[in-house]
Amino acid sequence: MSVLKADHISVNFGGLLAVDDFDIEIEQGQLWAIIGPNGAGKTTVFNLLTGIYYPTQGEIYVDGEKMTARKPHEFAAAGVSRTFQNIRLFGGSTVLDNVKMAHTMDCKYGYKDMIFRGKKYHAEEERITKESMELLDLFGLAEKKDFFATQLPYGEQRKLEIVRALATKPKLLLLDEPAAGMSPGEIDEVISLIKRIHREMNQTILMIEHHMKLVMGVAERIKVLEFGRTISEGTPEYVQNDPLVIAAYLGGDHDAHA
Amino acid sequence: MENFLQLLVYGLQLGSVYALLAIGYTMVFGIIKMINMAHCDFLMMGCYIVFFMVSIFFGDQMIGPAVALLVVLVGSSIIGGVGVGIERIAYKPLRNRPTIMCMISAIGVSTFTQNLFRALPFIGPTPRSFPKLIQDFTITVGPVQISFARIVTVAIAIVIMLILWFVVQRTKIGMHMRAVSNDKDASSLMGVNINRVISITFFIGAFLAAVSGCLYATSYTVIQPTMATTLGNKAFIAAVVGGIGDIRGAVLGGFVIGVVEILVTSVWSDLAYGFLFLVLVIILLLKPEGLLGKPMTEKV
Amino acid sequence: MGKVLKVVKNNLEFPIFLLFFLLVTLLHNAGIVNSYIMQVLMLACIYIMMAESLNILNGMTGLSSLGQAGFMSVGAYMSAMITTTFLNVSAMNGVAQVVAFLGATIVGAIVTAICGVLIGIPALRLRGDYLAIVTLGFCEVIRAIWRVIPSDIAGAAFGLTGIPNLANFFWIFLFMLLSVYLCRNYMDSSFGRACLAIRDNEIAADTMGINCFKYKVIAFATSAFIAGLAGSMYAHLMSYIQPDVFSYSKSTDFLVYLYAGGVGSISGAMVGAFALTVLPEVLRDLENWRLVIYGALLLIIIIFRPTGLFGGREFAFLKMKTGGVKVFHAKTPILWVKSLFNKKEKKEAAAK
Repeated sequence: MSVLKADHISVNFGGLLAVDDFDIEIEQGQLWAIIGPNGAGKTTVFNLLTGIYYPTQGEIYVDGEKMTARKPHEFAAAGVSRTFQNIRLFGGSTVLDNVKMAHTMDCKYGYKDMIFRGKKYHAEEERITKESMELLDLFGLAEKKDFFATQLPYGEQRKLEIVRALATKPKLLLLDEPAAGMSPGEIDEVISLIKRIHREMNQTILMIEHHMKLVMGVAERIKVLEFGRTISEGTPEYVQNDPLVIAAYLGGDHDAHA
Repeated sequence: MENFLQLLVYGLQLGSVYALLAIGYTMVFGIIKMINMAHCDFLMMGCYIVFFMVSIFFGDQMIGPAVALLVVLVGSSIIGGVGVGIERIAYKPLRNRPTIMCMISAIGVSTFTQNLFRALPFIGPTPRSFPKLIQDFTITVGPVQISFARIVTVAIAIVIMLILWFVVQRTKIGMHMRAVSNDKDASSLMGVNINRVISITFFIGAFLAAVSGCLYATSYTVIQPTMATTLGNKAFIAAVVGGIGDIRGAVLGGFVIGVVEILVTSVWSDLAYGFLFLVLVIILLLKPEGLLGKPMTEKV
Repeated sequence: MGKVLKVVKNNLEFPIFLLFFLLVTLLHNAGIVNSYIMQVLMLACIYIMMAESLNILNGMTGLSSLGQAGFMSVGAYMSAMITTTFLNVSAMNGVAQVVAFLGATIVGAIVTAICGVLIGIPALRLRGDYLAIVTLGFCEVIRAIWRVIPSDIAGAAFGLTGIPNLANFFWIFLFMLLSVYLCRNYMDSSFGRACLAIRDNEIAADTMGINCFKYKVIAFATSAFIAGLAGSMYAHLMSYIQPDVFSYSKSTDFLVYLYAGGVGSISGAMVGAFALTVLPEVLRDLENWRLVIYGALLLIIIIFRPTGLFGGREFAFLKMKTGGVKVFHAKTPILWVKSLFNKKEKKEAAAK
């Protein structure tokens, strides 16, 4: 069964067809990328796949379960977690708390345990702290656990967002431009980071990226969007040589392929 | 029916006071997204400054309408300047903080000014009676009796609103104001001097509040340092009901709240104040952006 | 032996609370601390509870509430109506009085929490300033309701008199500590973290699996519960409540306490409420000028100490693990004076 299936979804913003007939089926363990020029509707696709926008047409399935018109937190509970293009960390909280906050939904004690602080409370808190620290350790952020999230340098903020998304133990991780605004050196680091998450944790990933070196270096399958429509899909080699894609990126004759 | 018409006239007069006051709330909210809890104090200060100007320069003698208008305008301009000063002192340093902090600061300003006026020996907490600025007489139109002062009040309020409408829609500074209320950062990049626009907004707001204070005090002649709080709350409700951030909304809301208040008071005076808040709650829950406002969304 | 010592050492605050309570009671009985000071102290404790209750909404969840006095009035009226109108507690003997008082307090607080949910559910459709305005509206509507309830039940506009004076320093101090610890336990749990996440970034919180609506309603209920407790204490301390006591200016008082102390920090709320309740009493000799100074000090705190008097820290005895407040840049007094005259802008203009 596929981890995520989007069945011909479209969304309309007051007459503007932002995403038109988008179709994707992601299997466990795959690494997908969506590319496309600015304004092609990539982030809109992410917002549709996480319940922030509702599709006007089509259905979304996560792990076989129909998720159309569900709320973002229900998508998260079903196993879809994401990062944001413009970083959205919990700025008033520490790095460790940021990760612990992502554990809210798998926290097993109730309101009563919270008030009276029984055994269950202490056991759960200990587990959450331990798991969060392990994850931070894995990504080299453990020493900075008491920093405020906004005090981290830009690159580490992006990293922390990925860590936070991973803390929800997602079946599918959505990365929205993980390398945006980074220097070439940092991009190499992001490439190895994504490869590590994909290989070592066997994490299914769907990402949006502008940076060609990153996309071609890590993605297994690529979808190319332009003006909300899918214009090409396939392996990096295939997409790179598709005349329609070249036309979309370099400008030129739109009917080259058709 | 006659009774209703009579009440309607009272309502419109009170509504014109609320509308002028509500414009100040709405303009400040539109520009810097803060609820200026101290706005009503400009009204109180306006009453006092006109009171002192009249008693110092004219004593007990009756002044003509032109002189009265001049006194009110000069007094209100001074209050406008006070408004600019208060913005510089108490709100400007908080511009990059959550708006609720500006609100706390405004509460501080309000506590400070009201109690300063109570503490100053030549003002004091005792109520005073506002001087008669115009010779009042009653006009009878059919079954309805209207005092001349009320007509003048409504007329002045409407003239001021029209001037303001012209300033905001047709002049360069008005364009700057609209730009800043749309997007502060972008308009700053376009070369709009934000500080100047905010200062002018506060000047206009405080000026209108002071004028509305004088209009209010010509009919309800008792003035005291704490007089403005309830008036301010009602004007604020008016601004929200009309759609906060929109000047037309403030005017509409002001008149609606004025009329509703007078009508409800005539039925059950104990309930009027609470009823206005009920109107506020219902409007907010059904149409949060107010009668004339536009809905807002956050971009992801 | 060593283990016992460690437990005692780690929980040293409880004996200190007890000692403090005994000391104040002793001084009061010895006549050194007069009833007036006791009254101020007890009011300060009640206002600490209110500031804590407001902190759950404003500080932790980022929901601006201007209607806290409304919740307080629900707790005050419910409990006072139980003890005064329905039970006539004054006629009971000592133990029964205390039991009735505690029962009424709990019932009052639970009713307040239910009110919190009922008000919270529709109000939560709104954001930011609009939420603040609608809570203010609800607060005033509640006050209007108390005014129209017939006078033989709740005293109507004249207020409810003859409430038995059952809230002594012991109960008020105890309930204050319980509220503070409730807030502590709340903040240091998945509930508190969920609220902080909503405060910091609601959309991100939502995509991290936090059901924002649910946690906001829980925050409203918890906050209202504590306000209800405080209301009951207030009614049974003052023996007299009147609708106008719980006007929105009372709500803004609590807001001021919270922000002056340090929003988002439990200790800050305590410090702010205590300091600002005691301050006007200390300045009492200045008569009319005391509130002028109060207003000026408040402005100074807000302008130059964005994180409040307590700087967003927490008392060590609370043993907080979660927490933290957003830090804002504040101008130094000299820069502030310069900014009054637009010095910087003029310089830039000259450079052009």
